[in-house]
Amino acid sequence: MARADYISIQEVTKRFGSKVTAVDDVSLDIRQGEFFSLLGASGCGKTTLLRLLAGFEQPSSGEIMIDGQPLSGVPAHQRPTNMVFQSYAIFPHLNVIGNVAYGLRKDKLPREELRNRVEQALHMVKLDGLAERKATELSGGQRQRVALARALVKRPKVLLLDEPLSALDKKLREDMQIELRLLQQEVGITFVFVTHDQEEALTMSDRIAVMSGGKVLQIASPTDLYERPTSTEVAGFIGQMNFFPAEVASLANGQDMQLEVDGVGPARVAGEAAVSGATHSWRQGEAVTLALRPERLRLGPAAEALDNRMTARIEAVAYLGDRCHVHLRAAGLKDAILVTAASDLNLAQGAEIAVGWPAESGVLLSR
Amino acid sequence: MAAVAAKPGLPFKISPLGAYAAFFLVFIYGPVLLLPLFSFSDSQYVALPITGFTTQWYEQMFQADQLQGALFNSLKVATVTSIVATALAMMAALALTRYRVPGRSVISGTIILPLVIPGIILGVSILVVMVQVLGVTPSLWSVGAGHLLICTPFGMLILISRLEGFDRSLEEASLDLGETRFVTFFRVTLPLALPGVVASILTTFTLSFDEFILAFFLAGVEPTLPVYIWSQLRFPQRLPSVLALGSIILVVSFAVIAFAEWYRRRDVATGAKPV
Repeated sequence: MARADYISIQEVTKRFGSKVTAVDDVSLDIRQGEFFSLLGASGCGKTTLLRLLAGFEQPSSGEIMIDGQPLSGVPAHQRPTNMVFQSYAIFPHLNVIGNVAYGLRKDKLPREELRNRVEQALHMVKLDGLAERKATELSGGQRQRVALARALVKRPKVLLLDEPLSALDKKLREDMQIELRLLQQEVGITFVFVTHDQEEALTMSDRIAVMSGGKVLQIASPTDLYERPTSTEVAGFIGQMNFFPAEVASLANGQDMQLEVDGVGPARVAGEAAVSGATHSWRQGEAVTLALRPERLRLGPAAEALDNRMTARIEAVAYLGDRCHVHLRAAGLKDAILVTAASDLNLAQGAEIAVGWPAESGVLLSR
Repeated sequence: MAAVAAKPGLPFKISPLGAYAAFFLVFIYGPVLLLPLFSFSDSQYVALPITGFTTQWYEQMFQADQLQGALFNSLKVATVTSIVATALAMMAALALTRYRVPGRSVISGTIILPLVIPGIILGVSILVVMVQVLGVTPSLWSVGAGHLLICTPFGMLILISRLEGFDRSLEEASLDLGETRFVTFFRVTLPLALPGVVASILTTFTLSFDEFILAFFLAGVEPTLPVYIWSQLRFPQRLPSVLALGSIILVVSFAVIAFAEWYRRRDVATGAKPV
């Protein structure tokens, strides 16, 4: 049975000096065997949190437990974690086998078993036959694989990954995302993955913690994070989002909720969409933000039968091949509306067009 | 550069900056290069023109027992000093680059300070403390102790630049893979800092070997080579063999320092670059 609190971070705060609070009262649990991502812009505290797990930093307050074992006071070299560094930190004075076997020397394994373990690890990351290669002769992708093998060969309880894909080019990065995910499922080790790339986090993770200013904003599965963000910060950080200032006109009673959108008029939001995810109960007259994904908005004839409709003028169309981004201006709205549409629609710049969206695609956020 | 845009009639154009550079080089290296020149002159007196070529001063030099004793003293002091100074410098450099040390700049300033104190003041004060306060007789040991003061800062500066030059996550990776800080030093830090260590040993060796003022005050009855050479200057007939010895030291010092610099710059450790 997989533990739900295999890694338990309890009210952890990390300050550097008296001014900088890198991690601010973070509490979260990570399940056994989970691919868990810490996502946020640079400086949000995600790397510091990872370094606290690895033992390179000690929390100013709070406690971290892995598999029930409290880690305060446990130095990095005694923790059941291993790390893949952003720079990979491949030892330049050793060859591939020297790097991979580095952490096994202490275990005093019989020669034969050591060999097997190293070969297994190299096979796992598809580096068979490169054992004798010098560290300085490896490509970026190979270095990353050596770093992975070196960490996995230790059979850690938790593998920590600090933006391991950020140095690779786009094509290789996308391949590695899939490969890393498959590898994680194969070995069944809990992965904690730090990234600033929201697409990467959505592709790979079981769950994602979005961080900002040292705090965790939301912890959810990729789908929930995308479909039901609980704050404008998360909604804006993950993908693209249109925000409309609005006011609650009448409350839902298992029915749709009525809004009064500033500059547009009345709109309906599905009761379910409005409450799920939010721990907040809405009050009548409350100022809120209505959030709509660009791909959930419909244009032209497709908008006709929908719950909510308005008219806007086409300001610009950006053609992207399989789809296009349409920028719309509506009277009474300050910001342009972004719509993702099929590229075969006939869209003339300057023309008036109907925009519509179904009640269940609106996300309600408190302001 | 000096030799651009040649005018007709003149082989090259002399720019003021080029002339300054040429003068500078002649001024610095000219006298030094005269040393080997006169060491092969067959006249006992150092004067131009040189009348003939000889190697007799070199032969004479190898027969002088006192000179060889002084040479041996210098080698002993320089060997011990360079190794001890480099070990101390490594500890200081590690502390200053790898840990958040309170008062970092004060500590490094204190270590570097002996480099800017005039040697004569350093020499006199050490001698006074040693003889008057501690009651120790000057010997090669006291020369070594004095040299340690000026060699350690040199070694530290060399090692700091080396330690700052490689990715810190290499050491963290070693800790992460289960090795203690102590073992990490020998498995990661030292191999990667090795060019710096070699450079530090060679540089401090040369420094100690050539040093005169401290050795003059602290050597007692066991002169080091520079002190011995100085004492020989009173005897004109011995000057040519001193020139011969000086030439040899010049060549060896140059070779050692050149090797140290080459080895320090040789980049074996820049495998992983931080992204």
